[in-house]
Amino acid sequence: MIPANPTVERAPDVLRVEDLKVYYETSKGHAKAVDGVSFSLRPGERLGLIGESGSGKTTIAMALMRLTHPPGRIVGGRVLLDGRDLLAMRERELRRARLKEIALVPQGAMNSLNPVMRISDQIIDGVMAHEPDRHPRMELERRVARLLERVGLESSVAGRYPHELSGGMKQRAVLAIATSLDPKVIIADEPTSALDVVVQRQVMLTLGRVQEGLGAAVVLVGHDMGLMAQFADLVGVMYAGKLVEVGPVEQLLTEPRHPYTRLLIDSLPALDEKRELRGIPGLPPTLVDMPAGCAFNPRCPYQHLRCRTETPELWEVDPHRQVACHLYPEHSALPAIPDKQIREGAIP
Amino acid sequence: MLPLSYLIKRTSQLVLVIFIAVTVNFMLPRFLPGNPVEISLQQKIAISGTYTVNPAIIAKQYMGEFGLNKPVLVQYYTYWKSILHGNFGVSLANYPTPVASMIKAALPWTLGLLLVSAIIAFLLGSLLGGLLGWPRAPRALRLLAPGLMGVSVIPYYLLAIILIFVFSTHWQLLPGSQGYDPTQMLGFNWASVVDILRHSILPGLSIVLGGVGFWALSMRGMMISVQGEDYITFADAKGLHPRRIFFWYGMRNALLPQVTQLAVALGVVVSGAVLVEVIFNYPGLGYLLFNAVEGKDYFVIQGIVLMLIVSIAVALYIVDLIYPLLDPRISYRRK
Amino acid sequence: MSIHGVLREISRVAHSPRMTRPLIAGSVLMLCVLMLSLIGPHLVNQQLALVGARAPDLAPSSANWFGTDSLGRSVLAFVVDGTWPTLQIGLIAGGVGIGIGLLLGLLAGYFRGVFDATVRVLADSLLTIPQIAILVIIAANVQQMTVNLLGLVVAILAWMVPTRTIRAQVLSMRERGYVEVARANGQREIEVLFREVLPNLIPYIAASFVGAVSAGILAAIGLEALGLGLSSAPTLGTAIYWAEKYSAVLGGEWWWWTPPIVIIAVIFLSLFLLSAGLDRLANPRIGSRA
Repeated sequence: MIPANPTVERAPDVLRVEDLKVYYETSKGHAKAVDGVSFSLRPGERLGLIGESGSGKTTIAMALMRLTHPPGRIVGGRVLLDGRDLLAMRERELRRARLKEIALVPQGAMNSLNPVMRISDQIIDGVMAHEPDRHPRMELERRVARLLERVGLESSVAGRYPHELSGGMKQRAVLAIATSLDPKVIIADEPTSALDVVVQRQVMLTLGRVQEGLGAAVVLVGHDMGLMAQFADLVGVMYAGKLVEVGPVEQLLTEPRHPYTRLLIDSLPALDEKRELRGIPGLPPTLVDMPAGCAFNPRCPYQHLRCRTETPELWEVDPHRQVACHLYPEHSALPAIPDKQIREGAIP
Repeated sequence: MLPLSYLIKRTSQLVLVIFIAVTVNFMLPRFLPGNPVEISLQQKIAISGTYTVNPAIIAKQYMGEFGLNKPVLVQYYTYWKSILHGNFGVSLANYPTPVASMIKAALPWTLGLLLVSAIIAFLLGSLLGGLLGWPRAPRALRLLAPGLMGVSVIPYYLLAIILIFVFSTHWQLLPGSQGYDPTQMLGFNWASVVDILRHSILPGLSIVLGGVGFWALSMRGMMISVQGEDYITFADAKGLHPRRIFFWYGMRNALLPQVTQLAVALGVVVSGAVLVEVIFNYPGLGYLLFNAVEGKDYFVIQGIVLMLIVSIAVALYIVDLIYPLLDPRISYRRK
Repeated sequence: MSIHGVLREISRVAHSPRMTRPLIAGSVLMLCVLMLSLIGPHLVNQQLALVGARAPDLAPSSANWFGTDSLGRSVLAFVVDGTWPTLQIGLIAGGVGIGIGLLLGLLAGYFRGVFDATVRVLADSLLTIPQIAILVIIAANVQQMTVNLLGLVVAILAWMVPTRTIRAQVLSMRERGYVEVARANGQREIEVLFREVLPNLIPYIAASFVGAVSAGILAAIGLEALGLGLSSAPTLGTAIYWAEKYSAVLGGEWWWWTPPIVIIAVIFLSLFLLSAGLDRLANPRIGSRA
């Protein structure tokens, strides 16, 4: 197993995930939602995890915070936050690490706020949970106002209830809560999926601004390649529970190495030319009944014999670039997509 | 704060219900066959075996005195007037004790017993139900569940019988009847208080045991759906203490529909409690009602029933007014 | 929806994976009770249920399995005799309650408007009135109580919850795809009602029926225990009433009131299990994930 980032970096990793496995128990067997994912992040770095629904990205986000609920179970791996394994910690230690060091900006902020508590109370109870010493009322109120300001919300929001806020405001309130204790790592799980494009941009800009101010690392989980292009430094492409390609965002977009990445980018509607929409034929595999060999092989235009028998591992093809595909390291780049007729045999 | 329109709407509903209740109460006996006074007297004569007077003549006199031979609308008007003056007529069985004083004597017993046990059952049941629906609650509690469910299936008054037998007849631990020891004089002393408390334990227990299961089951259902909500997950992600999440994020939200349930269940709770009083000969409204039914004491029956309807209507009114304080979303929502 | 269709539907439900344990347990219990109530009277000597049949206040023995009461009646006999009337009352209450509930709920939920508003206000108001109050008044004024009459009296207060449940369901169904499609296809409103809405209501109807039966029996027993029950035939509730009257509880004659209570408990337990099972059938989301 080739570990992520084998070359030693300048700053130590603030987040290091090693061989994370999360399985779901179903009546038909284990669904391998996350099957051996590894990556690492340095402070201030922004990693985007992209994939279709069912690729395991939300599962990873929850697992990083150890919030996996039954029937899901973390069955293996380590999540090292500043060297300490979150998955091995005791409950109390974990609770202390949450929010203070690693924070979650959840998908669907609409429902992540307690409907019967005011916004300020929801910010404060997070703070008080980690700083139990008595804080004078005035100080807390000022703190709340500052946090709200930081995410672009008026201080009057503090006294309101969630149902009195719009979608974008709620998302920002959740962001305020998540960043209230200046965490080192922010896990953002599709933070803008339910919002319209204009608000999406505002929220992402806010997230970026706050994150930079904190010097925090971000793991942004989503399915929108465009969003990743604008926000992420590094992008990891997930398919059927595994990372199939990792690399800096511009390189990935202009020169994808994995067939899936290529098809994903190709499927984006182009602004400059008018052409037929291209999709990816076939459906993602059910995670219980995975095809033998490479999980993508039934849909891959390059698939050949080896793909059907051997599972490819992540391989560093270039500095900071990893791909899990049998085309490498023989090829140095993706060849042109072959005709649909050419199915069997090796690709020339 | 409470929007004015909501207040007005709810208050007018209350007034309407009371109005309907009083009217129905008034009309019902008058639509049914037979002259209640005459029948009542006839029964008494039949029981006592004497025949000194002609019941028809007495009945006429009685009706005249109480204005029962005037046109219906006049009667209706006088009825309202007397109600508002707290005059519910006099008891036929205990002539001439006014119904109002009988009710006044019985009321504190019922309030003390029914109210207190019902509240205990609700709180205890809700807490238990909340814990049962919370995946991170101590496992040992799950064992309690089937036992509770089993007990709650039995109607309160039947539970009462079992309790009486076990604790009173068999083990002679607690008194199985009456509200206080009839051989002693009640006074404002410690001994009286203890006596009353001892007598209220079994009846109270029947109501509590009978009700806890229902509330627990209902709360458990609410809690199960609440704990799957995103805000619970986020609260977890904030690193909040599990107890805080349970009470302030879980229970607080699950209680809302539970309180609504209270409104619906109140009628049933009262009914059950009434019967418990009967079984225990507890000197409350229920017992009074029972005896009145036995003795066909119409005015007492009417008076008690009216009281019950009005008090429940008022209780629900109060619940409806409190509800917006619990759920901040309500003040905004227009029905 | 032909007869064939209905039968097919029933068979499908019976074989579905949602035929859970509570449902099966409840059905089995109910079956036992039904057998007891229907077959029992034929197995037991009816004469023993009459006053003076045997010596009074006898404890259970091989001669009298459940002993006798203070009037010399065999407890076993009158308990077995009394089970079916009790169930009957419940069935009448349940049937009438569901009948009204279905009619009102369906029409109110589907056609809305003033009718809906009226039904809603009426049902809500009646719900706030304590059952016992109305029932006592009515029952006290009735001279001769029969099974059917008692059933009807109890049913008066049993129709509200089924109406509300069914109305709520119809309201949500109304906006769903298949109803819109049917209407767009030009089906008449009545047809839509019978073809699309009604079949999907069946689990709710069943659940409400069980609930109404349960409430009916509860209310009936309550009235009977107060002495307002049947003047002629014995029922489980009147047995309790007589036991109370003759101070059997304080007197320690446990054999008198225990069998009725046990049977009542079994009846309610089975109804409870059935309703829990039916609820799960109607709402598969309500799992036992606790």
